[in-house]
Amino acid sequence: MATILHIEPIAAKSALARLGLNEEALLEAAKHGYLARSNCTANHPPLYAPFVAWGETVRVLREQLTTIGWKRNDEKNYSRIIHPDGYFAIAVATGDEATGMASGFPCNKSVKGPSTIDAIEINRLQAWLPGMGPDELQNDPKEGQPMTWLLLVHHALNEIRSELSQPFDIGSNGRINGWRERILLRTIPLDFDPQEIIPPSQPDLDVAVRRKA
Amino acid sequence: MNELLEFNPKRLTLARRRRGLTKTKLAELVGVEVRSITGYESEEYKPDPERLIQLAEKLHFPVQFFFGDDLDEISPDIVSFRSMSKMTAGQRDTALGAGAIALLLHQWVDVRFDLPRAELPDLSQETSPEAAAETLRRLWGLGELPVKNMIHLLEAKGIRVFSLSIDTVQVDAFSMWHAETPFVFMNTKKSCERSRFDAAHELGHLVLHRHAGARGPEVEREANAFASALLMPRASVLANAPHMATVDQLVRFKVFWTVSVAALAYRLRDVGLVSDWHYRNLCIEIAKRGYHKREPEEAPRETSQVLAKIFAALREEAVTKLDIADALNVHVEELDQLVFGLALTGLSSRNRVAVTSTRRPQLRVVSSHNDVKKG
Repeated sequence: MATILHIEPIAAKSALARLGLNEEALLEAAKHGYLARSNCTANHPPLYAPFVAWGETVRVLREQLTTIGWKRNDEKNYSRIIHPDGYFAIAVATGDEATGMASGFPCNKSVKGPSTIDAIEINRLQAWLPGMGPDELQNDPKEGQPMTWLLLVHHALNEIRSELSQPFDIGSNGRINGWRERILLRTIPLDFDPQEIIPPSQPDLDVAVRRKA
Repeated sequence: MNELLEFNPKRLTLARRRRGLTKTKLAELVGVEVRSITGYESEEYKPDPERLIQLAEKLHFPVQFFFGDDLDEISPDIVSFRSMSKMTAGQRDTALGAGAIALLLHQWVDVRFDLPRAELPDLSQETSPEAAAETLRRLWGLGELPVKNMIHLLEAKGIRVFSLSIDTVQVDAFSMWHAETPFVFMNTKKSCERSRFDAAHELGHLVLHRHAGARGPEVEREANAFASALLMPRASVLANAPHMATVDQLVRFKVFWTVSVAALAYRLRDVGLVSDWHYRNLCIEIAKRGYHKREPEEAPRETSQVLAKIFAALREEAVTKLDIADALNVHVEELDQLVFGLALTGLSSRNRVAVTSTRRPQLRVVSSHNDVKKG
């Protein structure tokens, strides 16, 4: 199945609107994950930084979307937020360097567990038109469950890249190997520049002080 | 000649307030009834010479101090304090007392030196503090450049800057007009970045609220907004701010404007470069790292150019701090406090040593002074 790719900002915007989303909310969440990571020091356990980045992204995404009716869901510890109509859900995942790149094929960075596999299975199932799927999939209890989109976020050295994408296949290695649809989000530039910040040079003010005669 | 006739009760009141003491507290220190102090201050009766010496010692003023003309009093009405609500009456009196001594020093200097005259426009009619800051930048030809040295800027525009050597975080700074001269008093025990903001804040009061008389949280907010916009002009921030404001990046970028991490974070939200959400996150992290109490990567302190030049000129004429203190009838420490943190060298350390060694004998001379003692 070919991936539907939304690259241009306008295309991305309307694709997101279809899901009742706007780009700002997703970027705000991605930004917060980065902020949380940036607040970690060398004394934090190395695994904490990506964990807290993921956790904060989830929190901020949920905090924003719950105000417009989305519902939090942590079934089987799979943290998602579900659209008011129940048709689809969003989970957050750390993406690899291909994240947000039209030419690449992004992959989740950490191996996904049974919940993701289940969610992708549902995504596959929902792709069939009613009554046209393989017989064994008919009347499956998974029918009617939300399709899961992933907010993939990748922190590169000089920018944060992210996309909202719908996976439909995952390999036995726990890595996603098929995307039905990818909505590329605006990249957030970072300030990677080892150069010292130097204020513009200016002459000293001379304050006139004269001894009276 | 009976010197007791010249005892000036107003000077006793000033000295007491300068030390932040109530009449009760002073009475306790000296070992008299409160009504004695009340009596001295209301000119009902005069302290006898021994009592006067006791008062002078407890208040750390030379006895002669109580014998001068009336001093220019500074009333809280003409002064803007940064955080009036958090101050105790004692702290306020101490600060105002410092102001009165500063006026003495200012008058002494004024006779001997030509200093820049005040050049402050009245910007109370501007549409916002931000607009006022922009107008002032335009009038002063500052463009969009960072303010290199806030104290020098104030001094060049005719504002007299003194130190408020008070060990309290409740008093940041205050400003006042005396006749046509504006004064700014700064708590120089804060970081350079905080002091610069305080100085800009007081400048805001001087140009925005000279005739307002009104005080309170709204006026303080205006002065803060003015300071923020003066130190970090909008266009300059839009052009030079970090793309992604993490606390680490703020620490890196703040040197451009020489402002505190907290002030830069606030300004970024103000100009719309970070969301409210993002700003809250930054505030939490700034607090967590203790940057409110200890500014990271602190810039070197700014000092007074006026004081440096005056002291240099006086040094050449071999005028010591002791000479000035004598002329003003105050102890040298009083002068030290007015210039604390503002003048690096002061009047050469040699003089300092001489001053400290002569202080005690001077007191002894005074205390055994027959005219004073025997009347």
